[in-house]
Amino acid sequence: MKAKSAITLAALLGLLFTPAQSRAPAYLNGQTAHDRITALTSQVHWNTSLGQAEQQAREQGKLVLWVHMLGNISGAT
Amino acid sequence: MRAVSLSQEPALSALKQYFVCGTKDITDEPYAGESGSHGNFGNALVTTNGAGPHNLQLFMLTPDGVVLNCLPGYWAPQDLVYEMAFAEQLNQVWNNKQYSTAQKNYMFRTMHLAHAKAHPKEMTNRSHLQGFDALYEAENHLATSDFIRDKTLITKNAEGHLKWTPNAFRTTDEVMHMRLASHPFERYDKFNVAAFSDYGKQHYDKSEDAMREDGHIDHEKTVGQPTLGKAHKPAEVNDDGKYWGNTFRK
Repeated sequence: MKAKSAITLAALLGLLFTPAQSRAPAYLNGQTAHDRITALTSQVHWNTSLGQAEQQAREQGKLVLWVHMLGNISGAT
Repeated sequence: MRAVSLSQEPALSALKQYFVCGTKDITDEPYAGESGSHGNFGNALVTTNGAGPHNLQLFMLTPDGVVLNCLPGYWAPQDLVYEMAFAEQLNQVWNNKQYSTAQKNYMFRTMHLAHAKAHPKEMTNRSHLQGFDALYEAENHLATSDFIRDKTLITKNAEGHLKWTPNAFRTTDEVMHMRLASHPFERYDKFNVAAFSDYGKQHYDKSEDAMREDGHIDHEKTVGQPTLGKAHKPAEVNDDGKYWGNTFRK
């Protein structure tokens, strides 16, 4: 990751612990959960090959977030 | 995790701007636990950091496959981003050609342990073991669990049931850094996921799909619900024997 990106990432920490975050609802109904999952999977590309993810990370100067999960990100989990 | 953390700010922006993302279905892996199956329209629930460690692990890797940071189970979006920024600090150490391997490993260890001590109080408050996981550790790993800070604070009541005070247990945000500190800059393909995520019950399910908005579970709806995962095999010490939480060699 480029130094500038790292600084910006660190700046994101300024968003921590806002009252809105601490008041986040504990329970989400199915429709709301679906809308959020759709946003997540449409705005972020999710590789299923670690090799491809690493190659993209090298090209883009980024780190890899590799998520182990039961099921898959856009289906049943 | 996806509906209540990864899709929420500041995590979503961090994912889009600073990470290449990917997933692996661990359903058939021997270290995987078991969970109720939740579809795209299933209800979702916020839980505590580190809940469900056998069913979910979030790795932060260098582009050459080195583990900088790893979070077991669910993590709140603000805490996830806090740990992402820490991964970038470690990445700068990894890429610094002025440091020897020994120096880098030393820095990895000390930075992980220092980070755990510097966590904001709010983060630590979100990182208490689930009660059923604490009970599991006390019943099964009383003498060895790195989650147990002081076993003298775990006693039996008149009915023979275990009870404890909050200080008896370390929090998940502390233990995950302790475990990682003993494995500096380890390659992902050598990483012992089973040992790293070895704490608490293998089955994790809050019955979200049978939960009403007031938090009560409709138990009739839980009957016959599908599950994911399979019989869990206990973690084995099959790497270098270094400290790995519950599975360390004596």
